[in-house]
Amino acid sequence: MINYKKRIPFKKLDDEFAVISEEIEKLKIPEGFLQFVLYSISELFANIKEHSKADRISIEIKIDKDVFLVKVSDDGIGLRKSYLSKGIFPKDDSSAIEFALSGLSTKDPKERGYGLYTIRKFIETLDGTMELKSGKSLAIIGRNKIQFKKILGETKGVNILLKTKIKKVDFYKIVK
Amino acid sequence: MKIKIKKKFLIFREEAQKMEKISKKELKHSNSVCFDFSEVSFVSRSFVDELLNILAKEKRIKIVNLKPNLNKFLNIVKKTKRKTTSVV
Repeated sequence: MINYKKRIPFKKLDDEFAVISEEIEKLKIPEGFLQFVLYSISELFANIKEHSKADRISIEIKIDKDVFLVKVSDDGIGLRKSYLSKGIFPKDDSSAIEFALSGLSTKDPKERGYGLYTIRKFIETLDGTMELKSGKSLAIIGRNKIQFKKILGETKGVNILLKTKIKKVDFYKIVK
Repeated sequence: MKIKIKKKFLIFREEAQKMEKISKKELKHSNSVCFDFSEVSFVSRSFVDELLNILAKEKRIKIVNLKPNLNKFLNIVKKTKRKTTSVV
């Protein structure tokens, strides 16, 4: 079981991933699900490293007998500003979230940004929940649907929550 | 020239870029550079994506002792990259 909660500086992301992964690898959970857990945390960390310009990151990970939950929040520039800085123009925060979930890469328009796109695919397959907050928008992602809500105030950076039951899953089939 | 990767988890693009930097230096006085991944147990998609970009540019860089599950993952990412970059 894992019950991990920490706020770390940006430069510690790499070290922290190693600490977290060492613990996760010890768990007795289905192999495909274990790969999904490491995949999703690594992609969330990589997105922060490449796009967020954050100073600090809050991480919460809970894994018990049945449920996996991860919450990652950064205090960076958020999705919309990240796209704008690369010459991509989402009209608002909800559009920026949609871009990210559909796999629009800020690096190269010819290449897909697979991070959030694939995590979404996993969450849908596992019948879990994914919430993504950035700027003035909150997206709640369920099977084949995204529900957008306007939030009061403004979220700094990006907040992501993933929650799903621990199940057997064919990692390689979904990651394609 | 064989270089052993000492990290167990490779998740950021910059780690692949570091390998490229080392390779460029080594290739000035060597025919090839071989990175030994025997101690690596996890690679992220971002890392693999960047590594594949580097391997496509410089054929004298080789990766050896990649664990079977990582090799499978690398091949999936390679296949997907081919698909997306050909649709322009």
